[in-house]
Amino acid sequence: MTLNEVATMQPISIDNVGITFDTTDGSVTALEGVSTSLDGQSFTSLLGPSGCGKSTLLRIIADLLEPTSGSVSVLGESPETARTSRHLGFVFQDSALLPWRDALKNVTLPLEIGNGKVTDADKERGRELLALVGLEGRESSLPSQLSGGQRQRVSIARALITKPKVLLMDEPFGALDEITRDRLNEELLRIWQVTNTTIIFVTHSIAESVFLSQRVVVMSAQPGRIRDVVDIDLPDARTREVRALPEFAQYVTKLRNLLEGV
Amino acid sequence: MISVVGTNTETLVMGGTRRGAKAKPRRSPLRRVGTPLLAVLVLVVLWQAVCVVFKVPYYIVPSPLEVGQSFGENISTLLEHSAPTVIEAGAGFLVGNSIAILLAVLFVHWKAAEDALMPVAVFIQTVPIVAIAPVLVLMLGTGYAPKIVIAALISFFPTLVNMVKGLKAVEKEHLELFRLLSASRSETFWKLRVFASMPFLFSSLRITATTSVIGAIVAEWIGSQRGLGYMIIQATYNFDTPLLYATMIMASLVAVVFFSIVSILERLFVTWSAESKM
Ligand SMILES: Nc1ncnc2c1ncn2[C@@H]1O[C@H](COP(=O)(O)OP(=O)(O)OP(=O)(O)O)[C@@H](O)[C@H]1O
Ligand SMILES: [Mg+2]
Repeated sequence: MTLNEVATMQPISIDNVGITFDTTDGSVTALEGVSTSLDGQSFTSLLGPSGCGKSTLLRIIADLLEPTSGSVSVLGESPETARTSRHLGFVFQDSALLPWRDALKNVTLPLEIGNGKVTDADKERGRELLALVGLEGRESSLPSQLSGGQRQRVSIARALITKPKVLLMDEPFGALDEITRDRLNEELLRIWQVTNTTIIFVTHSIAESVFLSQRVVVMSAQPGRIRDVVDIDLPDARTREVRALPEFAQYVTKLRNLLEGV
Repeated sequence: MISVVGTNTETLVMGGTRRGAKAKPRRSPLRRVGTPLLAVLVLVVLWQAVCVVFKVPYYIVPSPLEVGQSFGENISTLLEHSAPTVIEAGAGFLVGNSIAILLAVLFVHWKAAEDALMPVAVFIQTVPIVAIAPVLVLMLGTGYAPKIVIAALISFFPTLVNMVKGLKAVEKEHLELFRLLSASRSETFWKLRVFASMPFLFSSLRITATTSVIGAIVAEWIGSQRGLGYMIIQATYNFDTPLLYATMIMASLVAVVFFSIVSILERLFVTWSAESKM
Protein backbone atom coordinates (compact mmCIF):
# COMPACT_ATOMS: atom_id res chain seq x y z
CA MET A 1 0.00 0.00 0.00
CA THR A 2 1.31 3.43 -0.90
CA LEU A 3 1.03 6.35 1.44
CA ASN A 4 -1.50 7.86 -0.88
CA GLU A 5 -3.75 4.85 -0.56
CA VAL A 6 -3.57 4.99 3.20
CA ALA A 7 -4.60 8.62 3.05
CA THR A 8 -7.58 7.96 0.82
CA MET A 9 -8.69 5.07 2.99
CA GLN A 10 -8.91 7.09 6.16
CA PRO A 11 -9.46 10.67 5.15
CA ILE A 12 -10.90 11.60 8.50
CA SER A 13 -10.62 10.02 11.87
CA ILE A 14 -12.03 11.60 14.97
CA ASP A 15 -10.83 10.26 18.27
CA ASN A 16 -12.62 11.00 21.52
CA VAL A 17 -13.13 14.66 20.69
CA GLY A 18 -14.66 17.01 23.23
CA ILE A 19 -15.02 20.76 23.31
CA THR A 20 -16.17 23.11 26.03
CA PHE A 21 -17.00 26.78 25.50
CA ASP A 22 -16.80 29.37 28.22
CA THR A 23 -19.84 31.58 27.94
CA THR A 24 -21.49 34.20 30.11
CA ASP A 25 -23.86 31.45 31.26
CA GLY A 26 -20.99 29.29 32.46
CA SER A 27 -19.25 26.62 30.45
CA VAL A 28 -21.09 24.72 27.72
CA THR A 29 -19.95 21.28 26.69
CA ALA A 30 -20.79 21.24 23.00
CA LEU A 31 -19.19 17.89 22.21
CA GLU A 32 -18.14 14.99 24.40
CA GLY A 33 -16.39 11.73 23.53
CA VAL A 34 -17.03 11.90 19.81
CA SER A 35 -15.22 9.20 17.86
CA THR A 36 -15.76 8.07 14.32
CA SER A 37 -13.90 7.59 11.08
CA LEU A 38 -14.85 8.05 7.48
CA ASP A 39 -13.92 6.16 4.34
CA GLY A 40 -12.30 7.80 1.36
CA GLN A 41 -14.64 9.28 -1.22
CA SER A 42 -17.62 8.55 0.96
CA PHE A 43 -20.68 10.66 1.57
CA THR A 44 -21.53 10.99 5.24
CA SER A 45 -24.28 13.04 6.81
CA LEU A 46 -24.29 14.47 10.30
CA LEU A 47 -27.86 14.47 11.53
CA GLY A 48 -29.02 15.85 14.82
CA PRO A 49 -31.20 18.34 16.65
CA SER A 50 -30.32 22.00 16.76
CA GLY A 51 -27.46 22.76 19.12
CA CYS A 52 -26.04 19.23 19.22
CA GLY A 53 -22.69 20.40 17.93
CA LYS A 54 -22.81 19.56 14.23
CA SER A 55 -21.37 22.88 13.12
CA THR A 56 -18.86 22.74 15.93
CA LEU A 57 -17.63 19.32 14.83
CA LEU A 58 -17.30 20.54 11.25
CA ARG A 59 -15.35 23.59 12.43
CA ILE A 60 -13.00 21.37 14.42
CA ILE A 61 -12.30 19.25 11.35
CA ALA A 62 -11.70 22.41 9.33
CA ASP A 63 -9.29 23.80 11.93
CA LEU A 64 -11.55 26.74 12.66
CA LEU A 65 -11.88 25.55 16.27
CA GLU A 66 -9.55 23.65 18.58
CA PRO A 67 -10.99 20.71 20.46
CA THR A 68 -10.57 20.84 24.23
CA SER A 69 -9.81 17.12 24.30
CA GLY A 70 -9.20 14.32 21.85
CA SER A 71 -7.71 14.54 18.40
CA VAL A 72 -8.68 14.71 14.78
CA SER A 73 -6.70 13.65 11.78
CA VAL A 74 -7.52 14.65 8.26
CA LEU A 75 -5.84 12.65 5.49
CA GLY A 76 -3.41 11.38 8.09
CA GLU A 77 -2.38 14.92 8.99
CA SER A 78 -3.43 17.45 11.57
CA PRO A 79 -6.41 19.63 10.61
CA GLU A 80 -4.04 22.60 10.48
CA THR A 81 -1.80 20.94 7.92
CA ALA A 82 -4.83 19.84 5.93
CA ARG A 83 -6.14 23.39 5.97
CA THR A 84 -2.90 25.07 5.00
CA SER A 85 -2.31 22.58 2.20
CA ARG A 86 -5.78 23.35 0.89
CA HIS A 87 -7.18 19.84 1.19
CA LEU A 88 -10.41 21.14 2.70
CA GLY A 89 -13.39 22.78 1.11
CA PHE A 90 -16.10 24.36 3.24
CA VAL A 91 -19.62 25.34 2.28
CA PHE A 92 -21.25 27.66 4.78
CA GLN A 93 -24.86 27.62 5.83
CA ASP A 94 -25.71 30.94 4.21
CA SER A 95 -23.27 30.83 1.29
CA ALA A 96 -20.92 33.50 2.71
CA LEU A 97 -20.26 35.00 -0.71
CA LEU A 98 -18.52 38.35 -0.80
CA PRO A 99 -21.27 40.73 -1.91
CA TRP A 100 -18.89 43.00 -3.83
CA ARG A 101 -17.58 40.23 -6.05
CA ASP A 102 -19.49 38.78 -8.97
CA ALA A 103 -20.10 35.03 -9.16
CA LEU A 104 -16.90 34.25 -11.07
CA LYS A 105 -14.68 36.39 -8.82
CA ASN A 106 -16.23 34.70 -5.78
CA VAL A 107 -15.42 31.31 -7.22
CA THR A 108 -11.82 32.19 -8.06
CA LEU A 109 -11.17 33.89 -4.70
CA PRO A 110 -9.44 30.81 -3.22
CA LEU A 111 -6.96 30.82 -6.12
CA GLU A 112 -6.39 34.54 -5.80
CA ILE A 113 -5.46 34.23 -2.15
CA GLY A 114 -1.87 33.17 -1.78
CA ASN A 115 -1.09 33.86 -5.44
CA GLY A 116 -2.09 37.49 -5.49
CA LYS A 117 -3.65 37.24 -8.92
CA VAL A 118 -5.91 35.03 -11.00
CA THR A 119 -4.63 33.66 -14.28
CA ASP A 120 -6.73 33.11 -17.38
CA ALA A 121 -6.57 29.40 -16.66
CA ASP A 122 -7.99 30.04 -13.19
CA LYS A 123 -10.85 32.02 -14.69
CA GLU A 124 -11.49 29.24 -17.17
CA ARG A 125 -11.65 26.74 -14.34
CA GLY A 126 -14.00 29.04 -12.46
CA ARG A 127 -16.29 29.17 -15.49
CA GLU A 128 -16.21 25.39 -15.81
CA LEU A 129 -17.20 24.99 -12.18
CA LEU A 130 -20.02 27.49 -12.53
CA ALA A 131 -21.22 25.47 -15.49
CA LEU A 132 -20.93 22.31 -13.39
CA VAL A 133 -23.27 23.77 -10.79
CA GLY A 134 -25.64 24.94 -13.50
CA LEU A 135 -24.82 28.64 -13.53
CA GLU A 136 -23.46 29.09 -17.01
CA GLY A 137 -23.87 32.66 -18.16
CA ARG A 138 -24.27 34.08 -14.64
CA GLU A 139 -20.52 34.70 -14.18
CA SER A 140 -20.85 38.43 -13.74
CA SER A 141 -23.95 38.47 -11.53
CA LEU A 142 -23.48 39.91 -8.06
CA PRO A 143 -24.67 37.76 -5.13
CA SER A 144 -27.54 40.19 -4.56
CA GLN A 145 -28.74 39.44 -8.07
CA LEU A 146 -28.82 35.68 -7.46
CA SER A 147 -31.44 33.60 -5.70
CA GLY A 148 -30.65 31.77 -2.48
CA GLY A 149 -30.23 28.48 -4.31
CA GLN A 150 -28.00 30.05 -6.93
CA ARG A 151 -25.84 31.62 -4.23
CA GLN A 152 -25.38 28.21 -2.62
CA ARG A 153 -24.30 26.77 -5.97
CA VAL A 154 -21.72 29.54 -6.35
CA SER A 155 -20.43 28.75 -2.89
CA ILE A 156 -20.19 25.06 -3.78
CA ALA A 157 -18.24 25.97 -6.91
CA ARG A 158 -15.96 28.14 -4.77
CA ALA A 159 -15.34 25.24 -2.39
CA LEU A 160 -14.52 22.92 -5.30
CA ILE A 161 -12.02 25.17 -7.07
CA THR A 162 -9.11 24.12 -4.89
CA LYS A 163 -9.90 20.48 -5.74
CA PRO A 164 -10.38 19.59 -2.08
CA LYS A 165 -10.06 15.99 -0.97
CA VAL A 166 -12.58 16.64 1.79
CA LEU A 167 -15.66 18.80 1.37
CA LEU A 168 -17.41 19.96 4.53
CA MET A 169 -20.92 21.26 4.05
CA ASP A 170 -22.82 22.93 6.88
CA GLU A 171 -26.53 22.76 6.12
CA PRO A 172 -25.94 24.18 2.66
CA PHE A 173 -29.56 23.86 1.60
CA GLY A 174 -31.17 24.56 4.96
CA ALA A 175 -32.76 27.82 3.87
CA LEU A 176 -34.21 26.54 0.61
CA ASP A 177 -37.67 25.28 -0.26
CA GLU A 178 -38.14 21.53 -0.59
CA ILE A 179 -38.34 21.37 -4.38
CA THR A 180 -35.16 23.37 -4.86
CA ARG A 181 -33.47 21.40 -2.14
CA ASP A 182 -34.36 18.07 -3.79
CA ARG A 183 -33.03 19.27 -7.11
CA LEU A 184 -29.80 20.56 -5.60
CA ASN A 185 -29.42 17.26 -3.74
CA GLU A 186 -29.45 15.40 -7.03
CA GLU A 187 -26.96 17.86 -8.49
CA LEU A 188 -24.74 17.51 -5.46
CA LEU A 189 -24.58 13.74 -5.91
CA ARG A 190 -23.66 14.21 -9.55
CA ILE A 191 -20.91 16.66 -8.56
CA TRP A 192 -19.67 14.29 -5.85
CA GLN A 193 -19.39 11.50 -8.41
CA VAL A 194 -17.36 13.54 -10.88
CA THR A 195 -15.08 15.14 -8.31
CA ASN A 196 -14.30 12.12 -6.10
CA THR A 197 -14.23 14.00 -2.84
CA THR A 198 -15.10 12.84 0.63
CA ILE A 199 -18.14 14.77 1.75
CA ILE A 200 -19.41 15.46 5.24
CA PHE A 201 -22.83 16.97 5.04
CA VAL A 202 -24.61 18.53 8.01
CA THR A 203 -28.38 18.57 7.91
CA HIS A 204 -31.55 18.77 9.98
CA SER A 205 -33.52 16.92 7.38
CA ILE A 206 -33.89 13.17 7.80
CA ALA A 207 -35.02 12.58 4.22
CA GLU A 208 -32.13 14.62 2.86
CA SER A 209 -29.61 12.62 4.86
CA VAL A 210 -31.06 9.29 3.68
CA PHE A 211 -31.20 10.38 0.08
CA LEU A 212 -27.64 11.66 -0.06
CA SER A 213 -25.56 9.50 2.19
CA GLN A 214 -23.86 6.19 2.36
CA ARG A 215 -23.71 6.69 6.10
CA VAL A 216 -25.62 8.83 8.55
CA VAL A 217 -24.10 9.81 11.87
CA VAL A 218 -26.92 10.56 14.30
CA MET A 219 -26.07 12.96 17.09
CA SER A 220 -27.80 13.82 20.33
CA ALA A 221 -27.61 17.05 22.25
CA GLN A 222 -26.42 18.19 25.68
CA PRO A 223 -23.73 17.21 25.55
CA GLY A 224 -23.24 16.57 21.84
CA ARG A 225 -22.50 12.90 21.32
CA ILE A 226 -22.81 10.36 18.57
CA ARG A 227 -25.94 8.35 19.26
CA ASP A 228 -25.66 5.91 16.40
CA VAL A 229 -24.21 5.37 12.97
CA VAL A 230 -26.53 4.07 10.25
CA ASP A 231 -25.25 2.73 6.95
CA ILE A 232 -27.66 3.51 4.15
CA ASP A 233 -27.83 0.60 1.79
CA LEU A 234 -29.68 2.10 -1.15
CA PRO A 235 -28.83 1.83 -4.87
CA ASP A 236 -25.73 3.82 -5.85
CA ALA A 237 -27.60 5.66 -8.53
CA ARG A 238 -29.74 7.89 -6.35
CA THR A 239 -32.40 9.06 -8.72
CA ARG A 240 -35.68 10.48 -7.55
CA GLU A 241 -37.24 7.01 -7.74
CA VAL A 242 -35.10 6.08 -4.75
CA ARG A 243 -37.31 8.28 -2.59
CA ALA A 244 -40.26 6.04 -3.40
CA LEU A 245 -38.55 2.80 -2.34
CA PRO A 246 -39.92 1.10 0.79
CA GLU A 247 -36.35 0.90 2.15
CA PHE A 248 -36.15 4.69 1.91
CA ALA A 249 -39.18 5.04 4.17
CA GLN A 250 -37.75 2.42 6.55
CA TYR A 251 -34.49 4.36 6.91
CA VAL A 252 -36.42 7.56 7.51
CA THR A 253 -38.45 5.90 10.27
CA LYS A 254 -35.37 4.35 11.80
CA LEU A 255 -33.53 7.66 11.89
CA ARG A 256 -36.56 9.47 13.27
CA ASN A 257 -36.79 6.97 16.10
CA LEU A 258 -33.11 7.39 16.82
CA LEU A 259 -33.45 11.16 16.87
CA GLU A 260 -36.42 11.04 19.18
CA GLY A 261 -34.54 8.67 21.45
CA VAL A 262 -36.99 5.78 21.10
CA MET B 1 -30.75 77.12 4.04
CA ILE B 2 -27.93 75.90 6.22
CA SER B 3 -30.37 73.50 7.83
CA VAL B 4 -30.47 71.51 4.61
CA VAL B 5 -26.87 70.74 5.41
CA GLY B 6 -27.36 70.31 9.13
CA THR B 7 -29.80 67.42 9.03
CA ASN B 8 -27.09 65.04 7.93
CA THR B 9 -25.06 65.42 11.06
CA GLU B 10 -27.59 63.96 13.43
CA THR B 11 -26.61 60.39 12.71
CA LEU B 12 -22.98 59.99 13.51
CA VAL B 13 -22.78 56.31 12.80
CA MET B 14 -25.09 55.09 10.14
CA GLY B 15 -25.03 51.37 9.68
CA GLY B 16 -23.78 50.49 6.24
CA THR B 17 -25.75 47.71 4.69
CA ARG B 18 -23.38 44.87 4.22
CA ARG B 19 -25.65 42.82 2.13
CA GLY B 20 -27.19 44.10 -1.05
CA ALA B 21 -30.63 43.25 0.19
CA LYS B 22 -33.82 45.16 -0.40
CA ALA B 23 -33.31 47.01 -3.64
CA LYS B 24 -35.54 50.04 -3.60
CA PRO B 25 -38.23 50.10 -6.24
CA ARG B 26 -37.32 52.63 -8.90
CA ARG B 27 -39.24 55.88 -8.91
CA SER B 28 -39.42 57.80 -12.13
CA PRO B 29 -36.72 60.50 -12.31
CA LEU B 30 -39.40 63.11 -12.90
CA ARG B 31 -41.06 62.31 -9.57
CA ARG B 32 -37.79 61.93 -7.72
CA VAL B 33 -36.63 65.42 -8.66
CA GLY B 34 -40.05 66.93 -9.22
CA THR B 35 -41.61 66.31 -5.81
CA PRO B 36 -38.98 68.06 -3.66
CA LEU B 37 -38.70 70.84 -6.24
CA LEU B 38 -42.42 71.43 -6.01
CA ALA B 39 -42.21 71.56 -2.22
CA VAL B 40 -39.45 74.19 -2.40
CA LEU B 41 -41.46 76.20 -4.89
CA VAL B 42 -44.52 76.17 -2.62
CA LEU B 43 -42.39 77.31 0.34
CA VAL B 44 -40.83 80.13 -1.66
CA VAL B 45 -44.23 81.34 -2.87
CA LEU B 46 -45.53 81.18 0.70
CA TRP B 47 -42.51 83.13 1.92
CA GLN B 48 -43.05 85.81 -0.73
CA ALA B 49 -46.74 86.02 0.18
CA VAL B 50 -45.99 86.44 3.90
CA CYS B 51 -43.43 89.18 3.19
CA VAL B 52 -45.87 91.10 0.97
CA VAL B 53 -49.00 90.63 3.08
CA PHE B 54 -47.41 91.53 6.42
CA LYS B 55 -45.09 94.17 4.88
CA VAL B 56 -42.01 92.66 6.53
CA PRO B 57 -39.10 95.14 6.19
CA TYR B 58 -36.35 93.81 3.87
CA TYR B 59 -33.63 94.16 6.54
CA ILE B 60 -35.52 91.84 8.90
CA VAL B 61 -36.60 89.16 6.43
CA PRO B 62 -36.12 89.91 2.74
CA SER B 63 -38.58 88.45 0.27
CA PRO B 64 -37.40 85.73 -2.15
CA LEU B 65 -37.50 88.26 -4.96
CA GLU B 66 -35.20 90.64 -3.09
CA VAL B 67 -32.86 87.77 -2.27
CA GLY B 68 -32.89 86.64 -5.90
CA GLN B 69 -32.16 90.16 -7.07
CA SER B 70 -29.26 90.50 -4.64
CA PHE B 71 -27.94 87.11 -5.72
CA GLY B 72 -28.01 88.19 -9.35
CA GLU B 73 -26.34 91.56 -8.69
CA ASN B 74 -23.61 90.09 -6.51
CA ILE B 75 -23.00 86.85 -8.36
CA SER B 76 -19.42 87.69 -9.32
CA THR B 77 -18.52 88.70 -5.74
CA LEU B 78 -20.22 85.57 -4.42
CA LEU B 79 -18.30 83.35 -6.81
CA GLU B 80 -15.04 85.12 -6.01
CA HIS B 81 -15.57 84.56 -2.29
CA SER B 82 -16.70 80.97 -2.83
CA ALA B 83 -13.28 80.03 -4.16
CA PRO B 84 -11.36 80.26 -0.86
CA THR B 85 -14.21 78.53 0.99
CA VAL B 86 -14.19 75.69 -1.53
CA ILE B 87 -10.42 75.35 -1.24
CA GLU B 88 -10.49 75.36 2.58
CA ALA B 89 -13.42 72.98 2.85
CA GLY B 90 -12.02 70.66 0.16
CA ALA B 91 -8.53 70.57 1.65
CA GLY B 92 -9.92 70.14 5.16
CA PHE B 93 -12.19 67.36 3.97
CA LEU B 94 -9.29 65.51 2.35
CA VAL B 95 -6.87 66.01 5.24
CA GLY B 96 -9.37 65.21 8.00
CA ASN B 97 -10.75 62.12 6.31
CA SER B 98 -7.32 60.82 5.30
CA ILE B 99 -5.99 61.07 8.82
CA ALA B 100 -9.17 59.47 10.17
CA ILE B 101 -8.91 56.56 7.72
CA LEU B 102 -5.24 55.96 8.48
CA LEU B 103 -5.88 56.10 12.21
CA ALA B 104 -8.79 53.68 11.86
CA VAL B 105 -6.54 51.23 10.02
CA LEU B 106 -3.98 51.57 12.78
CA PHE B 107 -6.64 51.08 15.47
CA VAL B 108 -7.98 47.92 13.87
CA HIS B 109 -4.53 46.35 13.67
CA TRP B 110 -3.22 47.60 16.97
CA LYS B 111 -5.67 47.50 19.85
CA ALA B 112 -3.34 49.36 22.23
CA ALA B 113 -3.30 52.37 19.92
CA GLU B 114 -7.09 52.41 19.89
CA ASP B 115 -7.25 52.24 23.67
CA ALA B 116 -4.73 55.05 24.00
CA LEU B 117 -5.89 57.43 21.29
CA MET B 118 -9.64 56.96 20.99
CA PRO B 119 -10.38 58.85 24.25
CA VAL B 120 -8.19 61.71 22.99
CA ALA B 121 -10.17 61.81 19.76
CA VAL B 122 -13.43 61.82 21.71
CA PHE B 123 -12.14 64.67 23.87
CA ILE B 124 -11.14 66.78 20.86
CA GLN B 125 -14.57 66.15 19.41
CA THR B 126 -16.29 67.53 22.52
CA VAL B 127 -14.55 70.94 22.28
CA PRO B 128 -16.85 73.26 20.31
CA ILE B 129 -15.43 74.31 16.95
CA VAL B 130 -16.35 77.96 17.60
CA ALA B 131 -14.10 77.81 20.65
CA ILE B 132 -11.20 76.25 18.76
CA ALA B 133 -11.37 78.70 15.85
CA PRO B 134 -9.92 81.78 17.63
CA VAL B 135 -7.21 79.65 19.21
CA LEU B 136 -6.17 78.36 15.81
CA VAL B 137 -6.22 81.81 14.26
CA LEU B 138 -3.85 82.97 17.01
CA MET B 139 -1.58 80.00 16.34
CA LEU B 140 -1.72 79.81 12.56
CA GLY B 141 -2.50 83.34 11.42
CA THR B 142 -5.29 84.46 9.11
CA GLY B 143 -4.38 82.51 5.98
CA TYR B 144 -5.79 79.22 4.72
CA ALA B 145 -4.19 77.14 7.48
CA PRO B 146 -6.61 77.63 10.41
CA LYS B 147 -9.66 77.18 8.17
CA ILE B 148 -8.33 73.97 6.70
CA VAL B 149 -7.52 72.68 10.17
CA ILE B 150 -11.05 73.40 11.36
CA ALA B 151 -12.68 71.82 8.32
CA ALA B 152 -10.36 68.85 8.87
CA LEU B 153 -11.26 68.61 12.56
CA ILE B 154 -14.95 68.56 11.70
CA SER B 155 -14.43 65.81 9.13
CA PHE B 156 -12.11 63.77 11.28
CA PHE B 157 -14.27 62.33 14.02
CA PRO B 158 -17.30 60.92 12.19
CA THR B 159 -15.02 59.19 9.72
CA LEU B 160 -12.77 57.79 12.43
CA VAL B 161 -15.73 56.29 14.27
CA ASN B 162 -17.42 54.97 11.15
CA MET B 163 -14.25 53.60 9.62
CA VAL B 164 -13.26 51.73 12.78
CA LYS B 165 -16.75 50.30 12.92
CA GLY B 166 -16.70 49.47 9.21
CA LEU B 167 -13.33 47.73 9.27
CA LYS B 168 -14.61 45.58 12.12
CA ALA B 169 -17.98 44.96 10.50
CA VAL B 170 -16.76 41.81 8.84
CA GLU B 171 -19.01 38.80 9.00
CA LYS B 172 -17.75 35.91 11.09
CA GLU B 173 -18.19 33.48 8.23
CA HIS B 174 -16.17 35.67 5.89
CA LEU B 175 -13.35 35.72 8.42
CA GLU B 176 -13.61 31.93 8.72
CA LEU B 177 -13.48 31.64 4.94
CA PHE B 178 -10.28 33.67 4.84
CA ARG B 179 -8.75 31.59 7.62
CA LEU B 180 -9.74 28.45 5.76
CA LEU B 181 -7.89 29.77 2.74
CA SER B 182 -4.86 30.62 4.93
CA ALA B 183 -5.11 34.26 3.89
CA SER B 184 -2.45 36.59 5.27
CA ARG B 185 -3.35 39.60 7.38
CA SER B 186 -2.82 41.94 4.48
CA GLU B 187 -4.96 39.80 2.17
CA THR B 188 -7.71 39.78 4.77
CA PHE B 189 -7.37 43.55 5.00
CA TRP B 190 -7.33 44.39 1.30
CA LYS B 191 -9.78 41.80 0.06
CA LEU B 192 -12.21 41.79 2.98
CA ARG B 193 -12.03 44.57 5.55
CA VAL B 194 -11.60 47.39 3.06
CA PHE B 195 -14.71 46.37 1.16
CA ALA B 196 -16.74 45.71 4.28
CA SER B 197 -15.89 49.22 5.49
CA MET B 198 -16.84 51.02 2.26
CA PRO B 199 -20.56 51.59 2.97
CA PHE B 200 -19.64 52.86 6.44
CA LEU B 201 -16.92 55.11 5.10
CA PHE B 202 -19.18 56.64 2.48
CA SER B 203 -22.02 57.32 4.88
CA SER B 204 -19.54 59.37 6.90
CA LEU B 205 -18.00 60.99 3.81
CA ARG B 206 -21.46 62.18 2.82
CA ILE B 207 -21.88 63.79 6.23
CA THR B 208 -18.45 65.39 6.29
CA ALA B 209 -18.73 66.66 2.71
CA THR B 210 -21.26 69.18 4.01
CA THR B 211 -19.95 69.75 7.52
CA SER B 212 -16.48 70.60 6.18
CA VAL B 213 -18.11 73.54 4.32
CA ILE B 214 -19.74 74.65 7.56
CA GLY B 215 -16.37 74.36 9.32
CA ALA B 216 -14.63 76.52 6.71
CA ILE B 217 -17.34 79.19 6.91
CA VAL B 218 -17.30 79.33 10.70
CA ALA B 219 -13.51 79.61 10.59
CA GLU B 220 -13.81 82.55 8.19
CA TRP B 221 -15.88 84.47 10.70
CA ILE B 222 -12.73 85.16 12.66
CA GLY B 223 -9.96 87.32 11.25
CA SER B 224 -10.59 86.80 7.58
CA GLN B 225 -10.80 89.05 4.52
CA ARG B 226 -12.11 86.50 2.09
CA GLY B 227 -14.59 83.68 1.80
CA LEU B 228 -18.31 83.15 2.23
CA GLY B 229 -17.92 83.32 6.01
CA TYR B 230 -16.36 86.77 5.67
CA MET B 231 -19.24 87.83 3.40
CA ILE B 232 -21.78 86.66 5.95
CA ILE B 233 -20.12 88.82 8.62
CA GLN B 234 -19.89 91.82 6.29
CA ALA B 235 -23.49 91.55 5.14
CA THR B 236 -24.65 91.33 8.74
CA TYR B 237 -22.65 94.44 9.77
CA ASN B 238 -24.06 96.39 6.84
CA PHE B 239 -27.64 95.29 7.45
CA ASP B 240 -27.58 94.00 3.87
CA THR B 241 -29.93 91.17 4.73
CA PRO B 242 -30.75 90.19 1.12
CA LEU B 243 -27.01 89.71 0.50
CA LEU B 244 -26.76 87.70 3.73
CA TYR B 245 -29.46 85.36 2.44
CA ALA B 246 -27.86 85.23 -0.99
CA THR B 247 -24.58 84.22 0.66
CA MET B 248 -26.30 81.50 2.62
CA ILE B 249 -27.76 80.14 -0.60
CA MET B 250 -24.31 80.19 -2.16
CA ALA B 251 -22.91 78.31 0.84
CA SER B 252 -25.66 75.72 0.49
CA LEU B 253 -24.90 75.33 -3.19
CA VAL B 254 -21.25 74.68 -2.41
CA ALA B 255 -22.25 72.08 0.18
CA VAL B 256 -24.69 70.44 -2.23
CA VAL B 257 -21.98 70.18 -4.88
CA PHE B 258 -19.62 68.56 -2.36
CA PHE B 259 -22.33 66.16 -1.28
CA SER B 260 -23.16 65.26 -4.87
CA ILE B 261 -19.54 64.55 -5.75
CA VAL B 262 -19.27 62.13 -2.82
CA SER B 263 -22.58 60.51 -3.74
CA ILE B 264 -21.43 59.98 -7.31
CA LEU B 265 -18.15 58.48 -6.11
CA GLU B 266 -20.10 56.22 -3.78
CA ARG B 267 -22.27 55.00 -6.60
CA LEU B 268 -19.17 54.24 -8.63
CA PHE B 269 -17.32 52.41 -5.85
CA VAL B 270 -19.99 50.77 -3.73
CA THR B 271 -21.92 49.07 -6.47
CA TRP B 272 -23.03 46.16 -4.31
CA SER B 273 -24.74 48.01 -1.49
CA ALA B 274 -28.42 48.87 -1.52
CA GLU B 275 -27.77 52.03 0.48
CA SER B 276 -25.67 53.69 -2.18
CA LYS B 277 -28.44 53.42 -4.73
CA MET B 278 -30.56 56.11 -3.14
N1 LIG C 1 -18.32 30.15 19.88
C1 LIG C 1 -19.15 29.58 20.80
N2 LIG C 1 -19.19 30.04 22.04
C2 LIG C 1 -19.99 29.49 22.96
N3 LIG C 1 -20.83 28.46 22.72
C3 LIG C 1 -20.84 27.96 21.48
C4 LIG C 1 -20.01 28.50 20.44
N4 LIG C 1 -20.25 27.81 19.31
C5 LIG C 1 -21.18 26.89 19.63
N5 LIG C 1 -21.54 26.97 20.93
C6 LIG C 1 -22.50 26.11 21.62
O1 LIG C 1 -22.23 24.79 21.28
C7 LIG C 1 -23.43 24.06 21.05
C8 LIG C 1 -23.42 23.45 19.67
O2 LIG C 1 -23.46 24.47 18.70
P1 LIG C 1 -23.46 24.16 17.13
O3 LIG C 1 -23.50 25.43 16.43
O4 LIG C 1 -22.35 23.25 16.82
O5 LIG C 1 -24.85 23.39 16.98
P2 LIG C 1 -25.49 22.79 15.67
O6 LIG C 1 -25.67 21.34 15.89
O7 LIG C 1 -24.72 23.20 14.48
O8 LIG C 1 -26.91 23.48 15.68
P3 LIG C 1 -27.77 24.01 14.46
O9 LIG C 1 -28.35 22.80 13.83
O10 LIG C 1 -28.82 24.85 15.12
O11 LIG C 1 -26.87 24.78 13.57
C9 LIG C 1 -24.56 25.05 21.27
O12 LIG C 1 -25.09 24.83 22.57
C10 LIG C 1 -23.92 26.39 21.20
O13 LIG C 1 -24.54 27.29 22.06
MG1 LIG D 1 -25.09 24.59 12.83
